[in-house]
Amino acid sequence: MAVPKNAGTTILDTDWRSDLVDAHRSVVLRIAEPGTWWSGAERVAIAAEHRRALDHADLPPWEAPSGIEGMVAADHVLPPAAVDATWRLTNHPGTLTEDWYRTIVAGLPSALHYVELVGIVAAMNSLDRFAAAMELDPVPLPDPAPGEPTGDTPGDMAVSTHWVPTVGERGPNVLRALSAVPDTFDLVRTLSAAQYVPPDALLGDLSWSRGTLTRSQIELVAAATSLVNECFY
Amino acid sequence: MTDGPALVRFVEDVAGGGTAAEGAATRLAAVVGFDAAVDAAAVLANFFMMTRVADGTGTPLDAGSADISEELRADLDLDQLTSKRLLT
Repeated sequence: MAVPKNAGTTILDTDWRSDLVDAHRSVVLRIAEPGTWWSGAERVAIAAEHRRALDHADLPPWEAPSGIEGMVAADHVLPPAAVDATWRLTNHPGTLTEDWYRTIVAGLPSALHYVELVGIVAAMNSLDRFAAAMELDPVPLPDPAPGEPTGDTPGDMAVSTHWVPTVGERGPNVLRALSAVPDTFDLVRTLSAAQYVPPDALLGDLSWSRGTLTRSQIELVAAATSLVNECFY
Repeated sequence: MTDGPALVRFVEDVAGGGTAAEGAATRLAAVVGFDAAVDAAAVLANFFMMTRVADGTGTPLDAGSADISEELRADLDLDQLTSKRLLT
């Protein structure tokens, strides 16, 4: 079967694996809702900036969009640091350093705003890279939902092993990365369960398969993708 | 591994963008089948996400993985990556 190349077709228009389609629908809708630290309008703006960054993938990592005349509107709903972080995370994640992180966070209301932004940008990358790989249109961004961010702050978070604050000390480090903003972690977990391996099979069943790719083939694609993104982890 | 080269080429073609990306999924589907190609695109998408989570948050390699991966990292020259982070 050939992969569809129909303009106007998104994953939501397909009859592909329903849990995958549902995960993409769910995540894009949740991005438009108020989060823990950003409003719905701000979250949709982050998603839109991710897409604008994809259209400027040739911008080198040392050039921040906010430093380029006319690239970021003065009345943008996001602080310049949020726009810069979104673009850098989208196009050059393997170049990030702790010094860069500290500079970005100094321009944001808090480190937890940054954690939520990372989750949104990462999820958007997932949605749009899937669409590009399957030659589909990206899922349109919904209108932002009204309401205020919850501001829920875990009581036991600390900066320990990561640059960002995290909660707890058990489990793989990458699964703890967004733990200080549980709602954002859940976005990533929703996509990961449908796109990669369900949580209970992650370490518990190394022969798990959907009946298409073997677990070894899944891990090969995962490793190859990590390498092209220059990700050490 | 069965169909390993086709899977890796798919990742490289999609990540490279441009003309290489055009038809990449169709070429993969011809080798592994359509449903498997969808699942391969999903795994690829997932790791465009997880790499940004790891590198955006300064996630270090897990303590138990550092020693056992030392030879592999050397073989693949991974220790040269800017994103190298080990627990100290």
